Amino acid sequence: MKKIVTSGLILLVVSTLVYVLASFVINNFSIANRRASQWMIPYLQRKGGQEKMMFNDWTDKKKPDIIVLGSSHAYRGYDPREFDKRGLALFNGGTSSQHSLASYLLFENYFAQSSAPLYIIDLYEAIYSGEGMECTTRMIENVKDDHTAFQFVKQEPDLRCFNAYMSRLVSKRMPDEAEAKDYVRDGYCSKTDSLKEDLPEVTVKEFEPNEKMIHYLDVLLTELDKRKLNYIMVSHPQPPRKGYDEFHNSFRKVVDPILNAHHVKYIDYTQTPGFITTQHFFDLNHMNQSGVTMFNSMLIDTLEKSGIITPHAN
Amino acid sequence: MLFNSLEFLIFFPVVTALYFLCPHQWRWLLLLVASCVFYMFFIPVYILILLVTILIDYFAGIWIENSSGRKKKQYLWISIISTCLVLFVFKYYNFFIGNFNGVADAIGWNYSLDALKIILPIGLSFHTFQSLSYVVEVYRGNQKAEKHFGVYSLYVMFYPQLVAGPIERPQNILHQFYEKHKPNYEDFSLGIKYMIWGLFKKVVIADNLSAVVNAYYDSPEGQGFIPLAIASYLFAIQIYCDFSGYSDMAIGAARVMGFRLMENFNTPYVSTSIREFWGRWHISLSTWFRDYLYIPLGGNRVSEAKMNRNLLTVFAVSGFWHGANWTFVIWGALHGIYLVLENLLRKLKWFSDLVSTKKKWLRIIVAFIIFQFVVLGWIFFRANSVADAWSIIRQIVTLSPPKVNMPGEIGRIGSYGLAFKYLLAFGFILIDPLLHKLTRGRLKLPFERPMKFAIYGTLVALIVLLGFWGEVDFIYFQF
Repeated sequence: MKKIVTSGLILLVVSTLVYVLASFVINNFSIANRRASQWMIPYLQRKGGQEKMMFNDWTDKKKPDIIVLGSSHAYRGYDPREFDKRGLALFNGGTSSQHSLASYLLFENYFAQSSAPLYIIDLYEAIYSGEGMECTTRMIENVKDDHTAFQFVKQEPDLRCFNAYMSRLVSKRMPDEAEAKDYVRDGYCSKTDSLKEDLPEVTVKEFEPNEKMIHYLDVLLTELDKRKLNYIMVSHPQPPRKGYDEFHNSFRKVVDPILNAHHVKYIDYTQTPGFITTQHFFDLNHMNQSGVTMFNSMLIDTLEKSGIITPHAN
Repeated sequence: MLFNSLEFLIFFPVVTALYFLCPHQWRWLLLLVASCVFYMFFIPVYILILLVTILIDYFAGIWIENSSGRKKKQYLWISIISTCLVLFVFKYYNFFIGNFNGVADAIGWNYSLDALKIILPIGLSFHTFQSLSYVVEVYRGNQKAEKHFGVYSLYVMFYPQLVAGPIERPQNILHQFYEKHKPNYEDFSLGIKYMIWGLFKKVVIADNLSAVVNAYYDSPEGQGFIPLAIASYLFAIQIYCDFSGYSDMAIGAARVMGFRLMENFNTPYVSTSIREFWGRWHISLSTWFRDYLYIPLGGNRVSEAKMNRNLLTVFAVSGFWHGANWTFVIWGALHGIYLVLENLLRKLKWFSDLVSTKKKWLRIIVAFIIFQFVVLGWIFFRANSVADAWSIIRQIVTLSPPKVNMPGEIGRIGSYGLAFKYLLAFGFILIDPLLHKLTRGRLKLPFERPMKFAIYGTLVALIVLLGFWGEVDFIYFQF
């Protein structure tokens, strides 16, 4: 028995040493402007890009009126310049594929401190059905500090997260690999090109939830309630597509009970008339600048009319 | 539960520790409960199907042993037919319905039957064959009927080999459930080495290659001969690593507790003939077909024409065992044809000398040629339909250039990512024969102990670092 335990320990020590050494090697030399690890391990995400620039723009001293959380639909859908025009300071905390666990951890570690008068949580179906690994590994690579990165590993006990964390730790001296040429400021990115034709019918009609992400939506809202912070849920406009309403309704059936339990105001713009595929969208479901300008104007009007926000002079 | 899951990382040491802590007389119960838990991680209610098979063959075994003459034979056939009926309903019913409807439609007969909306119970073909093996061996008098219902259930359900084999024979495994195993360093060390090497093959090699193979095989039309040829070679390595990886993990997990399961793979791609290939590939299945179908049909003791007919029959059935799709039947029949041709050619001295050559360089060349024939078979095995398989073969044979954009997944992997995957596949070909021997204690190294720690420690590190930890099932689970 003693021999079994000793051998097990030796194997553990040897494999740990090789693991650390191999991680260091593949994360510290680049091929075609990316760390070798990026080519070898498909789920690892690049350093830099929109997330890194957003985190650089965020400081604890920042006191915006509105903080937005959500996926790329958030950071491509809520333009701080449009809110500026109406006397409101907005910071966009959206990141690629940001799921509710990520929203929760970013809120806890960064955005809760500023106690913004309003938090907007952008609600997008795909975020609540996928595995969410892309977002998690992206956050582990790009959040501002190791402590927050480790929170992600703790919440997602998966070897992929552990490897992403190791990759972060051993490659600090390596330069950024991703750019965000369309980054504007305060987390927001803008696109001006448009789709060339209307979109085909939605084939998936039934929403399949990822229970874990649905659970973290509830956790996030509970935390916001606990801190007595003001928040609303918003679904951004979608290009008109046959069959989308059926899919969206099946999504609503899953999230509505949670939103009702928290008495949260939910503004659903998904099927708002006036949004045209070839004018207001640059891909399957992201708005271009023209769409964002129109949407933001509508949203601010609604928020003002309902007394949720009060603009102040700049 | 998958061997490459976090659940198994907890399940395995807990069950192993409890097994050795548990008094000997209750160990069968512990393993049976553990096996039920293992199986119920997939679709819990399907354990009832397993129970039906177990009940049928448990009682059939006892009745066969207690009877003689015609009655004995009747019990055997009742058992075989009822066990196969379960397999037929869940695995083949929809295939036959689909073909029936197709034929009815073709002849203008306005009649169609509804398909069943069921999911195939995981590993059904494996435990069905293991059950059949038991009743046949009892019938032949090679095995006493097992009176202990719990131990018999464990014979069918023993978790390491429950869902993808090796398909055991009762003579090899049943008596082991009565033996008292003590924690033993040799068994433990050997078992862990098997498990590490098996897991490495699965998550580092097979799963990393699957992305490339799937991308090309899911839409092969117009991809061109180079990508399709590469994807076909990669699939040959993927399926070997996937299945032999599972078998090694099964053998290793059993060995840690002191159980000896049969070997299932023996570096099949070094074979210098198709006959040798089938002696090295999925050994537990090929010997099953030899013992329970080929030999009862007459085996080698019949005329040459009948022997060739038997070979074709056995391999077509073997293909059908793999899946209810014509692609598998063609794959099996193709191997049957290879063997018939090989038997005919073996009459020529030069051919016979060639396939049994001892010259290393010549063996490499012959193995390379045989590998091409095996890969041709894998195209049918992997293709989503017979039409897809023909399309792939046509494009490879006519050296067709690409006519469509490469699949999006290949673009995402990137050229350096692809190069890394090719390097993995090539590196694996070089190290597999060595690691295969080393894992089985058949390779002596200088500084044996430290070298083994360095090699298996490196494999563990690479499993964690380079393993594809997304959701990828074992290919053979679908059978």
